[in-house]
Amino acid sequence: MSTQVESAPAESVDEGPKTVVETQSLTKVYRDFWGRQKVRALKALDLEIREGEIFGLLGPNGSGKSTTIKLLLGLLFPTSGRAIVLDEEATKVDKNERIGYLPEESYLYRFLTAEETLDFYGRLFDMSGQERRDRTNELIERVGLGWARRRQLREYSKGMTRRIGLAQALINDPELIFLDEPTSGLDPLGTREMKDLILDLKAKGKTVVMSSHQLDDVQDVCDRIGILYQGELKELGRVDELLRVEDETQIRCSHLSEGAIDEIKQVIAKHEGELKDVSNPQSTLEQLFLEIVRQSEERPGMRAGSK
Amino acid sequence: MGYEEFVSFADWLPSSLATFGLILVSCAFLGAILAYLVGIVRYGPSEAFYKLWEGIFQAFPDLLFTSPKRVAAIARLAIQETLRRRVLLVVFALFALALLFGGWFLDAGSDHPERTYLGFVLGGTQFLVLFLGLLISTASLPQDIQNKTIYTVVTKPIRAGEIIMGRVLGFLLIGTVMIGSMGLISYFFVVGGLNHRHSVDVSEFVRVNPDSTDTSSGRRASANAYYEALSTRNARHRHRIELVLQQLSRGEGGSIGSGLQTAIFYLQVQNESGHTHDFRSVGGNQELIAGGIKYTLFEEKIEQKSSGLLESLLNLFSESRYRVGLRMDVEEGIFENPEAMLAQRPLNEVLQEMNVTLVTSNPQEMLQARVPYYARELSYLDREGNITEERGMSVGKMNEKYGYIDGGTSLARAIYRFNGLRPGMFSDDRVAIDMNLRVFRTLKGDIIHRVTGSVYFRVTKEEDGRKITYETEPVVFESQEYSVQTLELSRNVVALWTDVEGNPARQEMDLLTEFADNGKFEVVLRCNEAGMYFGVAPSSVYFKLRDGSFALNFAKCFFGIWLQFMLISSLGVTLSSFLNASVSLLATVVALLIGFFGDFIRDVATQQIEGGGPLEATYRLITQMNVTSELEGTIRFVSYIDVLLVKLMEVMTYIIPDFTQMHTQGPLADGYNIPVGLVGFHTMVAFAFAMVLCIVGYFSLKTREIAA
Repeated sequence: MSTQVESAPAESVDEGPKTVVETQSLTKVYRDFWGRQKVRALKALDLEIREGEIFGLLGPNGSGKSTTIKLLLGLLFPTSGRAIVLDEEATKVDKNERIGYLPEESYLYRFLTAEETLDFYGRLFDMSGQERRDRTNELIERVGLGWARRRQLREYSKGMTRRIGLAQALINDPELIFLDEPTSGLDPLGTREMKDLILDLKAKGKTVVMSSHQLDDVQDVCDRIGILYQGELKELGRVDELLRVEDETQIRCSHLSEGAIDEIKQVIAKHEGELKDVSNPQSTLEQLFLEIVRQSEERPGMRAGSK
Repeated sequence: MGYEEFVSFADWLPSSLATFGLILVSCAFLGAILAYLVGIVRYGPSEAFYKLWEGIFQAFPDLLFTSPKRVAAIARLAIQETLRRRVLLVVFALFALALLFGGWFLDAGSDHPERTYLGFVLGGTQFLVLFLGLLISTASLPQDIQNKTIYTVVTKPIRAGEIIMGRVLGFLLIGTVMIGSMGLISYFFVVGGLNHRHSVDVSEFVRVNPDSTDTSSGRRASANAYYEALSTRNARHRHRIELVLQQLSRGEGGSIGSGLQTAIFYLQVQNESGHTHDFRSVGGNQELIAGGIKYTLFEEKIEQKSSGLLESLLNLFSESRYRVGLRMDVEEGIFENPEAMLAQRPLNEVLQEMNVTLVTSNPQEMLQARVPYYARELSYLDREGNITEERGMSVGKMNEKYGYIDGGTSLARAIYRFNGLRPGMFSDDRVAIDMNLRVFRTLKGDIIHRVTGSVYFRVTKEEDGRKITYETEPVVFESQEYSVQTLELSRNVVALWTDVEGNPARQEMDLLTEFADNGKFEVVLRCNEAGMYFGVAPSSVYFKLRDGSFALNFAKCFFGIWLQFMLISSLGVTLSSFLNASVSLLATVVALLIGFFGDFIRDVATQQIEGGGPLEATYRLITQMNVTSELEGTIRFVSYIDVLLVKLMEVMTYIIPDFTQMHTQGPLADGYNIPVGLVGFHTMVAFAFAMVLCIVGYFSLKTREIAA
């Protein structure tokens, strides 16, 4: 793509993927009109996000997730410390050529249609007319809004707005995408699709920085997470490592008879292991819901589950 | 009433561009210092310096890489947003309503109905359009920030300057369409509203005596008028229609002998309510032979002169105009004078017998664009023929522009020096001099006739080392006070001079090409009656060049409104880049008021208007205190605060452009061409301001923490 700036040749000495986002004791203090300190929203955040990973910022409301993302986008100016995005200060405009941003609520012009919206953002990237049309068609199909492309956004449901929001974030085929609460307000189906879209981005080699307070979302898609609480980074690491319970073992079998279970219990007792639980696993409600929707789509008019 | 062209545009531009550049640089310097001071408070001295340097350093590439596509995208968005707010519809509906009902109440019978009409449409358009500009420009950016829609915009590679410029451009486009359509509608409203015709009942023509006021209209008839009648009352006025003898020719021998051969009379519509009429076609020539005289009613089509495409296009829609006259050819008998011919059969009877219906054309000379050509210099000569230092005679405290010259002496004169008049500036082989004179009387004089004066041309040329002064024969005129009178003179003048041998010489010459010395000559004005004085100002005598197009003049005036709209919208957008919607609306209104009432504020500041500044005036209002009585006691302290306030306001008047200036309604309504140079001057001023505002907007938006 012509608008995409070729990334500088790797000059970092260390191995592995290069750093795309880096913060150095990034601090943000909100002040009132008279300059008095109101809230210390972010305290000396040190973070490094590498190319190609999905990084999740996790934390309850007001923990500084959005503040961090806004600082990385240059929407806020740091009180102290630095935020470096794609080797540039976060407040520089040039980096915007290569990033995409989906705000926590899709702040879009409600009087535009989906097509007009994408066309407008395409113009902001100085794209040619043909490029804008191709990109618009591609993205509208990708987020599944083909049927509503000529409707004004004010008629859109929350989920549809979210999708068009994601589409506008991807208009320039960015290398780095910031998603602020990407799944908020979406139904489970929408959530699943959003998560699939995110994983799809990763498959294409993009770096994704997302924030969420829905833990399972983060768990499903993120490679690494940082947990923020009251503006401080409390935990940072790979999701699978952070969640691994070191001193427990899980065995899952199918078609096991009562006798076999008893035998296994005896084996465990012999090795002085402590048996914690033997039960049929419960599916998650999310999985159940998705299964019902899938079945309904296959056989419309039937009650799901009936044979 | 003249509108002098200010210093010519070409003279003004280079020097003022230099001044503008100087001011711009010093303002930028001051701004940088201010920004640094703010920065020190926020970041400390070294960090602030770094940030400032970076900010300035980055402004240049930002400006350089401004993308027209992005600006256009924002402009489009601004237009879509405005269209959605339906404010345009409301404004347009108000405009339509105003025209619809305004037409009922505008007085077409006033002295100058065109002024009323033009004032109405121009004032209305200006008010509505500026109000619109105010509303849309101040709301847009704050709304975007409040809705956070700007988050998705500023995280794209768009520059702050593009956001500002795009908005201004978008609003300007809306303004252009609005002002353009309002202008077009207004034009037809004015022309349509003022158009009217009169008809004349030919049986009403009666004989008049040119030297008496004893006429049916109670007014003195023009010279050579033999009959008069009153037209029908339309648009609340009637015109006096005169049959004026224009041409007499005598036969040479033959059957008619030396008696009169032909006499030609023209029908003339006299000026009323500031306009005249021509006639519509009377349906071809009609003849009548009676008493040895052949009477022919004839019409001559008046060619419409047009300069430029626009005018010729508009002329296509205008009606044909005719001059109508009555020609008498003697076929039998000998008539010594016109009276004898008229005794044969009065013309009113002839017209009646011909069964003529006379209908006038639409008004002429109502909506016009006179192009004055002013003298370079004016000097006043006293009774001894010496140039006076002061402006002529003092006749007491009169209008300070006017100086007075003595009457009844050939030496007291006003001499206007003209330069650069060329034949191409006039439409035909005549030159027209417009005069706007005052008369100061020390005695009652002739009650019927007005005070007479005379005008002649003069030039001094150097020939063979000798200075020779050429003069033309004086043209005597009756002065009309408080209105513009036009003297139409032939360009072929008879020059009189004293030749080398000291003998008087005379020769016919072309005024502009032969008489004038490289385009230079003088117009000399004299008052002919003793005890009377002519008051003349530098602008009261001028050559009336070929008329400009009224439509174009009208467009220039609307262009002035467009410039105002541009200023308002760039001011609104810039202010709203750091203020919220309501505050920036308020600030823009204040700026607008200062822009409109700059003169008043300056007068208050220099204490030419009594009553003190805002606080003192408020105190006086509340306590119902006379403006001239002294403030007493401790309340005097408000006047000290006022000094500061008024000074501040005065400074503001110099910062904010003079809005009233750009609105060139005055010359338009008075029928004067608006000089292109003046329009150019206003355009430059407006664009300079808009540019500076956009720069301020760029920096304020760039340094703004959008998500804060």
